[in-house]
Amino acid sequence: MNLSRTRELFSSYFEGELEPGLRQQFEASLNASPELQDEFAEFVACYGELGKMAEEEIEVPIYLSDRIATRLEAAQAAKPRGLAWFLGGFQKLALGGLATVALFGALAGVNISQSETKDPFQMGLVKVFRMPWVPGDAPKAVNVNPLDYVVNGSKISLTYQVKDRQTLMVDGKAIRSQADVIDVPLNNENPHSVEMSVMVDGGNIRETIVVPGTERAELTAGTGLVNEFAKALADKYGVPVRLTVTELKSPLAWNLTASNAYEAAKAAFDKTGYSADKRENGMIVISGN
Amino acid sequence: MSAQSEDLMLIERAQHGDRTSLNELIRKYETRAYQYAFRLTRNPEEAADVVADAFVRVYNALPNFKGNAQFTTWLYRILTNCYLDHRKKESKRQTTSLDAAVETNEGEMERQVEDPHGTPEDDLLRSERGRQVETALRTLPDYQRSMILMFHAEQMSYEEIAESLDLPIGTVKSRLNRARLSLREILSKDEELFKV
Repeated sequence: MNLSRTRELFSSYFEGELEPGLRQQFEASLNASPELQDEFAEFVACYGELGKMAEEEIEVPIYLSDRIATRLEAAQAAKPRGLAWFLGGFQKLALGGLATVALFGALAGVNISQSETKDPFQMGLVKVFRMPWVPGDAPKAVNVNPLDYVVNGSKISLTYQVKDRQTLMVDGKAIRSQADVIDVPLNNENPHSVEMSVMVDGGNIRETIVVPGTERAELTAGTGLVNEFAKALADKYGVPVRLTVTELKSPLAWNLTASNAYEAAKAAFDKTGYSADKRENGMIVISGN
Repeated sequence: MSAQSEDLMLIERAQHGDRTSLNELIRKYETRAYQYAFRLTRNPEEAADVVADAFVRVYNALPNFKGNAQFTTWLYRILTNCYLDHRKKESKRQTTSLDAAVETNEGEMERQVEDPHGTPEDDLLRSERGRQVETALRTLPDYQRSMILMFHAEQMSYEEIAESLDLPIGTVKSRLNRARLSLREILSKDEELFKV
């Protein structure tokens, strides 16, 4: 058996898959060549090292479910009527059963902040409804974002699907409910966009929602952090922007000359590590970095 | 009920229009799909894109899924194809010099580029050998790399890899051996790390 043929059998020999006759030929060839013995020893070390890859812990980003849901929505929308064999419902992928939601940060000017001392249910600010029960529909808590946003014209609301402890915290205040889904209107009556941080389950999920104001901005170019870019995007195009980025450190430069917010975001994010998705409802979702 | 039977049941329900079954199927496999995609790309953003695109293909092709193959091997095939498509798109993209500054109304600004390999702290957590293996893997052709990852990281059998990549089992074995020989050769040149 020549050296080349012997090398071809390295894996099979190491895995004990050679039949006896071939194994004897392989061993004879190996014993006759110290060079080949060294190579085989290195091969075995390499094989062992490759096996350690299975032990690597890979953290799944919290935005994964949301991104899958976004792409599925887009795919569904792209299908002609009658061929869309699922009638919506992918948002449930991005909804789950985590316990506590906290909204905090810059809520000034947003309706919900006006409910500081009153029960939001009594004020009618928090709308509660029940989802129809579907057999076998049991969302898992792990890696599933329980938050979603509904956009209807200029009206935006935060939807939180409750499963376990049924607690919602808005602007630092806990709202308890027996409902399956809680809907929180986020109306901004300021001329400019406002930014809100959203936190789920003590910080396991953190994101920011930018709600556009009542006026559109003329300014197109600027620099700043990604949250400032999101506000510029909301001011210019009047679209809500959801940021699922982990940190807001890297500065960006932008020039909002594109005809829509999605194209403008894609242009600004080129080679930055951020990415933008467009929801069917018009919301821009920024993730990454 | 075995995992395979459960998958077939979910697929059958999904094929009849039960969207919750499709959602359940996605939830069941999104983590595993992401881990494989991340190992291929070593980039969280690209991996998430590959997984999202793969599930869109699953959604589009599910009505035609006959159940002759396991759902997992089918999913791995789709993930691998999506990854290869992403690579093709990336190679066609116009490149920009990383040294080039970005022009803004407020003057020039240094371009920010994300390091897909994580922070220095992350690097410290991985052994020197592990990082050498990762670097060596990146030099392999995409198909060889996907096979290596399927076998060693995803711990799939030769049969499952053959089914996923639609190749004869003998071809999978010979290509995997060739990939390991290439890795050995690359690693043996590197700082004597693999000398025994």
